[in-house]
Amino acid sequence: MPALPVANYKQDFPREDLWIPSACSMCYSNCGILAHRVNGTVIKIEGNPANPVSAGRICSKGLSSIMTLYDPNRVNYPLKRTNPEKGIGVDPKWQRITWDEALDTVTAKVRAAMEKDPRSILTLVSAMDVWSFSFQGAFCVALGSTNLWDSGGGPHCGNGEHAMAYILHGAIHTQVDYEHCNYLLMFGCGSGAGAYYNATLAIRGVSEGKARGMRVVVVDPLLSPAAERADEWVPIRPGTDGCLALAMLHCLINENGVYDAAHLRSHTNAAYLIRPDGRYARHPGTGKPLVWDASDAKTKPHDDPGVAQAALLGSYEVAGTYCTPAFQCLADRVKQYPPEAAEKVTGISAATIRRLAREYGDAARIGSTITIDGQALPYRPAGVLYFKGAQGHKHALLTAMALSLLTEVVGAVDTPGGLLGSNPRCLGFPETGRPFQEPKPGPDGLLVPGEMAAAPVSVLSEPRKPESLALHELAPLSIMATGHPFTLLNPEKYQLPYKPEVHFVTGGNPVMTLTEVSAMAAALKTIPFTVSFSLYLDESTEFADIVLPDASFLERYEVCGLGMWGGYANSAIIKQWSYYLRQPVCAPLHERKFRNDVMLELAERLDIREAMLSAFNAMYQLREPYALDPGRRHTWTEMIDATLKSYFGPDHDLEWFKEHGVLTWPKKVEESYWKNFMHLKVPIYFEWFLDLKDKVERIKEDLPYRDEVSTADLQPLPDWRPCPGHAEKRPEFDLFAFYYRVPMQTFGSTYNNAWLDDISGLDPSIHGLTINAKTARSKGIRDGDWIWVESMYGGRVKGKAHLSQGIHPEGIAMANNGGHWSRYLPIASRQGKGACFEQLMKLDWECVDWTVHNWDLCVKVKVYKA
Amino acid sequence: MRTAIAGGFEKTPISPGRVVSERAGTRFEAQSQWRFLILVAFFTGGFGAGLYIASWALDFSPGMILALFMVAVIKGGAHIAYLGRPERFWRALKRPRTSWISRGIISMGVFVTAGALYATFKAPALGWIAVGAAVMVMAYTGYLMAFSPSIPFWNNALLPVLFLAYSAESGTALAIPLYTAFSGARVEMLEIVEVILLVLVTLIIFSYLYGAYHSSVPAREAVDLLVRGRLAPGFFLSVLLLGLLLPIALELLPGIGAISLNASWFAALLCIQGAISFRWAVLRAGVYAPAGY
Amino acid sequence: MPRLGMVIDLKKCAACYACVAACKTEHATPPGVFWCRVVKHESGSFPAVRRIALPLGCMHCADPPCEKTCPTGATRKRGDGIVHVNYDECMGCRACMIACPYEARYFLAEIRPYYDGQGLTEYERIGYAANGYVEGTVTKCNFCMERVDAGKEPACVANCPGRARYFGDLDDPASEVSRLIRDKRGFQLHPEFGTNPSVYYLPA
Repeated sequence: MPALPVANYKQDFPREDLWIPSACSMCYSNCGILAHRVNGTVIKIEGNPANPVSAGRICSKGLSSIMTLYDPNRVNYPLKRTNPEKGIGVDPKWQRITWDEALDTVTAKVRAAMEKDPRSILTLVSAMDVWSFSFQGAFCVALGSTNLWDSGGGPHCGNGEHAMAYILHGAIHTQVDYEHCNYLLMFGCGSGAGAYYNATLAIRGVSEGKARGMRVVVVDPLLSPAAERADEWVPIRPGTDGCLALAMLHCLINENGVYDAAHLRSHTNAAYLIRPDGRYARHPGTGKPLVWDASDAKTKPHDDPGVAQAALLGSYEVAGTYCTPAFQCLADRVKQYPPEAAEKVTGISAATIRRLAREYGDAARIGSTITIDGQALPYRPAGVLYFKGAQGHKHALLTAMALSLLTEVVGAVDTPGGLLGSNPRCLGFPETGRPFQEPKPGPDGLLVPGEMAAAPVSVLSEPRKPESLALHELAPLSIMATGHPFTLLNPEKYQLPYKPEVHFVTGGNPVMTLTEVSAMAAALKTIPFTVSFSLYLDESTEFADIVLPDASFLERYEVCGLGMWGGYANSAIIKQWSYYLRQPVCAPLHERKFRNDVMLELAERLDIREAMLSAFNAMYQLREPYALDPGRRHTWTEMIDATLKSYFGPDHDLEWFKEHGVLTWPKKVEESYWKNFMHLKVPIYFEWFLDLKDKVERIKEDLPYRDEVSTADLQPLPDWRPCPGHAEKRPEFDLFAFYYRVPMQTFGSTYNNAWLDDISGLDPSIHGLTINAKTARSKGIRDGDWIWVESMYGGRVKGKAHLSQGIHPEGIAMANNGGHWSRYLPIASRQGKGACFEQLMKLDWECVDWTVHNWDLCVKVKVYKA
Repeated sequence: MRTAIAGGFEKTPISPGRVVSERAGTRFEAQSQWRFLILVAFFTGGFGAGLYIASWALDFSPGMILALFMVAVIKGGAHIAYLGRPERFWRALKRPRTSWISRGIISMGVFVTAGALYATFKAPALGWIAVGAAVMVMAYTGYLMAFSPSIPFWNNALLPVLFLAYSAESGTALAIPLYTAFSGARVEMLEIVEVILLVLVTLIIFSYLYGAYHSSVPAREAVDLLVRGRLAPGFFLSVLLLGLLLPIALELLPGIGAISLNASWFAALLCIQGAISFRWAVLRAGVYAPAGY
Repeated sequence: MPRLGMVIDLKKCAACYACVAACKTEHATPPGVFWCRVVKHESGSFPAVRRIALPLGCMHCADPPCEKTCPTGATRKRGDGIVHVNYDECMGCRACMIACPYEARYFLAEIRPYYDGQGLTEYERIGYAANGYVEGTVTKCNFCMERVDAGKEPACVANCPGRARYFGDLDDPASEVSRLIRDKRGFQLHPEFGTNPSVYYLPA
């Protein structure tokens, strides 16, 4: 690595002056960085211009990560609790112990649990550690337990969006093709404003798009950071985005007749004939779904090359019953949502809804093509992006379906200008052909994601009788089920054949990021032994028995881009493939160790090394001669070395990546806009949800908690249903509380970073609770007043009122996950640093979307002066 | 092993502005740097110089010595105490070509030196030099504040005139009872001058506020603070009623030359508190022009 | 001699505060000190409301009131237009803070640790000293003159994720900044003050 001159540091003749390429992990974007180290001290983190994932520009969080590295409040030594009593605010009376003592204790506890029932071991992962998921997965497989959970996966993830992204795009999430898009419609999503995936690159995408003339419209109850920079802000009543989407679909299809018939015929099941019972009309012999060929008025199998013009609309007699094409079913469904009806629900005028539908439909330029690299492709420069905000509600799946169909109907999917799945298709590094993945045809001609080493949501998803703490088996459309607090608190009721014994925490802060805080605390208390790899003694670590000092991302190795969820960082807006290394920019300080190294040590002590390395080989699909030999011990760096060589050839080993940081090559048109090159269909009519529903219904018949499990939302077409907050009629609970994301904090994990705290103080909306100025004045609340926000469920939070005109009069907004209380986070836990939304939530199945395990994030509250 | 810290630091103790009001989404910030010590320095400087001129006119040495003491020790001390690096105070002399601070400090030096020499040797030329420098000391704070467009309320040609008049008024107000107490004699002329100065100050304040109110948005915001906002009670009570109108009444009601010594002391006290209050109010109402309003 | 200047395209600014952090880590500015900051202005009333974000810092005025009012000569303007403070000459009278129409200046009363009561971090121990901060003096943006002298762009420009910031020679009519100002109707903040800032903005 060539040393660059240190211009601004005055030391004469520094002994060491290095720029080290690595990868950020302050959020899940995993930007490529360069760390400047002078005489052992990290003095600057910058974006790595050589890495397309950042292109040399990173956000405030990555730039501020030095403060997380050197935060004096970090855990630096192994600790054990000496106070057996656990609870919120109960001092564990931490005592420093040696690594040996800590690992001896952990080994004994885990071994005992494994002997009892390995499934009694529960592992918690953090969304920020995505490039260790496969490693952690291998460890769990070796332990014999796939009981996993993700801190915040329920409320803070876009579980409905993820399901739709897999089903419709074959990828974990979607991005708009900013390079070509002319009309960006966002629902409760912060892309281009420092949130969402590839935060900094999306900023560039939106910025350059806007400079080019792209129109940005943001639908959000809050004039959010994304709405602020949009051309138009459409304020909406919280929890009603799905209704708006349905009304827009109605305008597009039934009023304007704007839909991409060619796309619907060739790439969706829009022409499949649906029987009155909601199922496909199938060919009696092959069982293939039928379509109606209008050219000769005959039914034919959907993939019959002889189909000249499959009917999208109408009603046709098939074997004695009248069947309608799926698209006609959709048209009929959305007819129930005329703009006038949607106006009453969403608070957006019918005229505005019609205008948005007209603008969006016009922008899609149905029928146009664009030539890229000599390939003529459909050009659909209109994108709809939505995430947590729009679908973080009780009926997440239905809302997500409605929103996703907006792009599907106009054909703006996986084609230039439209909505792109984040990397469903990768044809591999030219020298090795790896990594290789592409969507495959599944039942009824529908797409099945090709993502390696994962069990993505698809037409193949099957429910089973639950044996996991997550109850994932009943919600196979969820990528990250979160039933844990229910099962932990009531194991008898949920009939699990084991009781949790050991909690293996590798990151995250679930007490503050999942649901009702007191219930989460009680749930964590039920697990007899908790070992926590921690950066901080945060609110959840308070429940640990042993705390192990973890290495931050600046002190550890990881491979970025390989393994599970490969599209996570290297997303669709980047037109280059990028595989890169996270490497320590300084040796772990104090007695910190990276947990993967520790887990390998534990694997030795627990005699599970063979199983673990075999699982690792399988997870990463390592090929000879680089597959790990389970018969001998490997270090984490050896495993990385083998993985890199297995994918990119012997020349691109760990040493190569340490020096160069990143391996890139251009994405082909066939990769970025793969849909035009593959004959795969996606549903606009989710027929198999009916099967799913029947199966879940059958399974739940025998379950004592069957009344809690609602399958009502498993229907083939979207609808809008109100979430519990909309049913709250007590007049004093007159506002919807909701939470949103800001560019300078990641969930709750960055609040003790002194720089980010300082920067957050520049904008009063970050630490304050944003309330409509007129609403506030009617309650006698002035700017800066301390207020209580009391939930319809009983919990309440205190914060400083920030009065603004930029919020729906029925809303009160909270940025990220502030409101910490751990005494070991002195900056985060100062009063007035935001509020913890979870204090307002309730642990109740009424507040969970059963289909994708999304938690309801709009709660009716009353607000009064403190 | 680790200590728990209760609370971090208070927010931004050193940022330039402090939010004082909000109108139509724009937050107005007032300067927060020039506060107590600067008030002491600015007021005593003007007041002392005013007292010196009045005493000089009466050839009243104790008044001149008191005035020199105030300017040299109190003003000078407050200035040095205010500096971030007091040991570098001498550097303030380096830029008289552009900086009103340099000019003011040099004037102060000339004033104190010439004033002290005059008090000792009574050479008339020295007296005139001291008086000239005293006028500069009275006025320069106004020029310093009016110099930059950053605070539109201050960026006003009347401010130096106002400070000059106010300094003369407050200095004269003290000179009257002080002279009488020392010499037993009364100087009706001085009382007439004082009444004229009080009326003049009242008029200039009105003109100043009127002009500022109609000049720009931030200046209007500042005037609003003064006459309607947080500073209004102090402005109307201390500055206008007690500091100007009541002294005028005290001087005029008994008739010129008929005021008792005690009443005269009382009037001086009222004038001084009025002058301090006004300086304070103007410093506090130093509202910046928000960027991009 | 060039006249160095900056153009900030408000259409491309995402108000992400990355410039604020980039500045902080480049110069190790102490707590509460922001050479570069972002200020938001809200106008209108619900639902017709607009909020704009304005990245602010030193404007490196061609006619800087701070330099004029500085009695010690600590604030200087270089030949290339960069206005900077020499911490070894500043006496901390703060007249420049009063004179600056853009509130770009900060008084460093004392250098406190970011983790108050817990001592300076390893980074701060080196960073505060290396940047030559002196307690009791005034500090502000120096257009990253060390970087500029080394041929690099200022940190906020080089890092801006939205590529909203441009840096170059305002006196060269062919430079990118001059072209942008000309073609996209660049404007200065408070042009009526006659300070002639070297930082221009392009309309949102």
